[in-house]
Amino acid sequence: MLMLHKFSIRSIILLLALLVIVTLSLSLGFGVAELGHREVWQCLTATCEKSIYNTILWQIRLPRVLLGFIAGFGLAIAGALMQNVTRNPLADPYLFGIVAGAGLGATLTNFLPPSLQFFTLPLAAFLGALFAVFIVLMVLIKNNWRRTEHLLLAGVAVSFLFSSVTSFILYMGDAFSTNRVIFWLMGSLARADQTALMWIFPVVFIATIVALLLSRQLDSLLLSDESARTLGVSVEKLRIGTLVICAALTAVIVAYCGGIGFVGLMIPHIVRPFVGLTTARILLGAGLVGGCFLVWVDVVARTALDGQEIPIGVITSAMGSVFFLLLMRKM
Amino acid sequence: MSVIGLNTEYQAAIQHKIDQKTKPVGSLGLLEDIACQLALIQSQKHGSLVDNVSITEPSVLVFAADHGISDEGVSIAPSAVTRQMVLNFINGGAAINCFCRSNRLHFKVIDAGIIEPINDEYPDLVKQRLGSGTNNFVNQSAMTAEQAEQGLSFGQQAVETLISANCTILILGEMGIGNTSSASAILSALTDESVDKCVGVGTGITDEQLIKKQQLISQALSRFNSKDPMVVLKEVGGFEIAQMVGAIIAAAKVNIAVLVDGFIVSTAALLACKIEPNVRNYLIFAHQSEESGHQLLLRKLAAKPLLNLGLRLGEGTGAALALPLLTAAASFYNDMASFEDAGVTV
Repeated sequence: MLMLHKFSIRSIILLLALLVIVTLSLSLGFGVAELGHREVWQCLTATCEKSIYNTILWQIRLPRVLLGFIAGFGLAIAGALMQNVTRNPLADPYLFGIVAGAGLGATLTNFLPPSLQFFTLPLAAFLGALFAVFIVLMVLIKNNWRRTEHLLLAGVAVSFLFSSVTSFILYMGDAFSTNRVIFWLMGSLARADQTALMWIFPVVFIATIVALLLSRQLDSLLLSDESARTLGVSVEKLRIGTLVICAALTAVIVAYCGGIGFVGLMIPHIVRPFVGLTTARILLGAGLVGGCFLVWVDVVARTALDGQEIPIGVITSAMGSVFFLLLMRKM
Repeated sequence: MSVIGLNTEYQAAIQHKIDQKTKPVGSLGLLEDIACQLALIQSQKHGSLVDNVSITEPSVLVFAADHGISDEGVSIAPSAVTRQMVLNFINGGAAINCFCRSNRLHFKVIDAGIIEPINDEYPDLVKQRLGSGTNNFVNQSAMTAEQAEQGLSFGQQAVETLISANCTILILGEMGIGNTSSASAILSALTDESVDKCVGVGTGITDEQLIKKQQLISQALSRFNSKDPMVVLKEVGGFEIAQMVGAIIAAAKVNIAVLVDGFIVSTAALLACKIEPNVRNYLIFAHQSEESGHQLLLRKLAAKPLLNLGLRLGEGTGAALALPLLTAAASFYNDMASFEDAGVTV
């Protein structure tokens, strides 16, 4: 992929900061026409025209915009990390079996006895996602990481396995619970309550910090495993550690927002020509762009169809797949 | 400015004042709690400890709207009855009108979205329509996110006139054929309680209708998976419920106490508390309705209802009946002698 050196790093940072600010403030203005951009601006700079606007803005619209931003941020850096750590441009946390695992977990909640009610849908989805990652890692550790492509292949195999179990359970189960799981799998930011933010934000924050601390070692991995080893990096530990970070990030986001596919795949490819290949840059670039992207996708999801909300995963997957195909054509 | 929690620095002084009255400590039961709550709210409003609790311009707002789910035959009456009852309210012929007259309460009915609008203008009718009834929420969203937000805004609008009239107690009531289905669905979605526990017989349906009502609500709840109050409101709410949520939040913001009626108004109160948790401090629960979901909801909000008269009408009747108790609580707080004043020693 070609590098565009006409942008200095300073102007890129400025551009990204501007993008984030514009996205966060503009997206708040979508909703009932009475509280549009002009009124939001009035609320931000002075006092609201009506005190109920405060509630609508801060308690209803802002949490959703924040959740969209943080979820997009997390998914995009998980994708960027996976692409760098596997040196495979098609790596994506969703090809890792995570969503299928989460889906199985979510499905199983319908069959739990009442005494196990504390296994709520998000928790079960989280555990299912971790279980999928665990299987993939076990397979790879057993075969000594002979080829990193095995990671994706094992991920795809685990995805199919879990999806088939899920399909079987849903086929046998009653229609209502099937609906519930299917709607969840399509992804939505509608769970944007305080609990969702409380869980997702710390995980994304810590994962970002850890990944940034590891960024120099991850850069050496970009050359080749051998080069990294000669530079004193313990490749296996680093790779497993990074994959666990990706798994935790994706699992917690999937648990609350359902299947929002392909953000992790396409955002790093979009930002790479602008910010370069090195890990720290691409992490921040992909994270910020991914966050803004998901906020805008959610605006479309909320407003495109009159009276209905389109599941956000439907939009990201549709866009992502087309992008994926274009990408394949060039490779 | 969001709803701020009640400033508890006055709590000790208020409780002391109540305990110094010429009576055994705590012997006025719930009335003491009410007096304390009203004194806290009004002290908050004035920014200093108030000596007297005043109950001025208590006003009843009845929000009326229609519900698409009533097409399924889950109520004793067809949707057309909602409009007929609104006309009855305007003419002063409904139960709530009688109780308003006997307790000297101001009364307004708000058309939040009944199917067929009322074209004539009446002094007691406020038109804030969000549409011609909600969609049948079994297979689609009851309303759009825009309508839900607009509902909150309209709710505040309804309270504005009361604020300028120096009203200290807002009494809410509702009218809408099919709205217990909506309230049950909201309760189940927000609390994870099973649908069976949240659904009751409404104003009196048969066992077969009850089973159908439970099934339809389960089906509706399987469409979405969220505890977010605005999503729940949009998916299975009603126009009158949306506006009541807005009215409750708006009242709490300006330190007006809200006297909550039965199941449907309590559901709006629950939604308001999920959006702005501090709203809970401003709520007084008037009565416990016969509807089983209401008892569950009151437990969830840790509410102690004042009356238990077996009411299951709605319209704000329970709240209007409870108002004299608030007046009594204010009067003992203001006028009852303390041990010191009366020279009583114990």
